[in-house]
Parts: sequence; structure tokens; C-alpha cells
Amino acid sequence: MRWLEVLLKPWLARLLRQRGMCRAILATFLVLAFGTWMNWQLWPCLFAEITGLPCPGCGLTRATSTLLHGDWLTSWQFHPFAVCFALLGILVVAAAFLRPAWVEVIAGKVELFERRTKLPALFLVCVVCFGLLRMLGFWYQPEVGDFSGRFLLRKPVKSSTNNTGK
Amino acid sequence: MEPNSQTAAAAAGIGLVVFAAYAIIAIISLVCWIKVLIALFKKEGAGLGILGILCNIYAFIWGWMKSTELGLKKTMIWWTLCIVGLIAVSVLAAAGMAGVAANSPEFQKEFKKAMDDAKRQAQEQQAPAAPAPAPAPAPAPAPATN
Repeated sequence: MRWLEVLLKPWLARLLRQRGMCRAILATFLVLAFGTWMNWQLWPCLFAEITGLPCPGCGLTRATSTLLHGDWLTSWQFHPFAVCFALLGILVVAAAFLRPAWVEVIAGKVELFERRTKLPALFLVCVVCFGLLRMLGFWYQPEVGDFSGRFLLRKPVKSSTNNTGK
Repeated sequence: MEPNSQTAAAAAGIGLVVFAAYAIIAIISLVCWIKVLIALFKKEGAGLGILGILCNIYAFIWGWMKSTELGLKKTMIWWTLCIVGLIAVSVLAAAGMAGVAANSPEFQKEFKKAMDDAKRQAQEQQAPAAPAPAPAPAPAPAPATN
């Protein structure tokens, strides 16, 4: 059962202790958010671009956006784990800007929580399982975008009746 | 060759070139991502490794931050170039398709029609703002003929 131990090892506290990484993640997401606001897709999802299927993380941006607009149902359809990722984002922001001593306190508590409950590790496993189930068609698959050359090979859509996002 | 078939041939040509370029760049990018993921799993453990799968931006940032330490600089330069290449190819493809569409007679006809419609709609919207015309005077009674 060594692989299970490796899989359930704490990761969130380790991430929070990397202040530079948290700042870099935040800066990158700000640039990407600006790009999304300007209608530019600056970061392609390689998995989606190559396979045409949504990766386990696809739809998170749209889910978070609809969540912030108060549309919980649509957010749930896009990605049911959006709330957890939003919480993760809050922790990353805190780790990027709070004093190092406070970050250490938070990271210590998070590590204790991780060791006791194993929830953050299970959360990642659940997201991967959800992604696999979604690829198999057990959940609404969000559009993976017209970023690639694949759109040139797609058949034209004849009617707009099936474009309701469900 | 008919203008429409010329347009279709140009579109198909651009499509093929873009698709080939995009596929090659995407596959190189995927290889770089997998290389970084292997290093990420080894160095940081399964949790952050899975995070790198879910969110390849994390793997990208981590790769650059540890590039000197783990000797990933070459991989990261390739990956960055591929990302820039993917964006450039898609922009060029969009511009090329727009150019092809603009030269097509069908597009020009549709464009002219859309412009006319927009002009008509603007005129219709302006009309209620103008003062209403006075009601037409009642016709004068016709003189009796006999």
C-alpha cells in the first residue's frame, strides 16, 4: 500500500509554503483573466486541443465566473469542484500576500488537516475521476473552444436548437 | 476556376497548413509538458503532480522556477516557444480565413446586405424621434355637380 501513502501525502501545505510560486500563480492568472476579459485565449489546454475532449480541469474558469455571478446551477454543470478551487485560490492569495509568520501558521493548520482527514488528496483523486467520467459522457461536456486548427475541419452546425449548454 | 471554388480551395489550403502546423506544435508542447510532469511527480510528490495535470499552468510555472535546479531550461524554452507558436498560428489562421472570406463574392454580397439592413434599422430608430407629421387635412367637400 505504499502507492496509497504516496498518493495521500499532504500537498496543499507544501504549496502554500512556496511563497514565490503562489505569487507567480497569481500573476499568471491575472494575465490570463485579462486575456479572457479581452476575449483572447492566451493559454491553450493541450489535452483538449489534441484530443478534442475536455481535460479534468476544463470548464473551471467558466464555472468560477458563473459562481461569482451567483448562478450556482450553471456553475455546477460546468464543473462541480469550482467551489473547492475557489477556496484553493483564496488560500493561494493569502499565502502570496500575508506575512511569512502568518503563512506558516496557516500552512501548519492546513498540514494538520491534511494529515488527519486526507481530504485535499482525495479531492484531487475525485477531480481526476470526475474528469474521466466526463470524458465518457456521464456529465455535461463544456465546449473546448475554437482555438485550434480543428475548427477548420468541423462540420458546420445547421441549427442552433442544440446550443443551449446542456 | 469559379470565384467560389477559388475561395473554397484557398480556405482548404489555409486550413490544411494551419492544422499541420498546429498539430506539430501541440505535440512538441505535450512532450515538454510530460517531461515537466515527470520531474514534478519525482520532486514534489503525487498531489502537486496531479495538480500539474489538472492545471498545466502550474506545471509551466513550476518548470520555470526549478529549471536551473533540475536542468529543465531547454525543455521550458521549447515549451514557451510552442505556446507562443500556438497563439501565433491561431491568430494567423483567423487572419487568413478573414482574408479569404473578405475576397469571396458571397461574403461581399452578405456584407452589403448586412450594412443596408443596419442603415435601414438606424433610420427606423431615428424616425420616432422626429416630430410627428401633422394629420392630413380633411378633403374639401366636392362641389355639387348638379
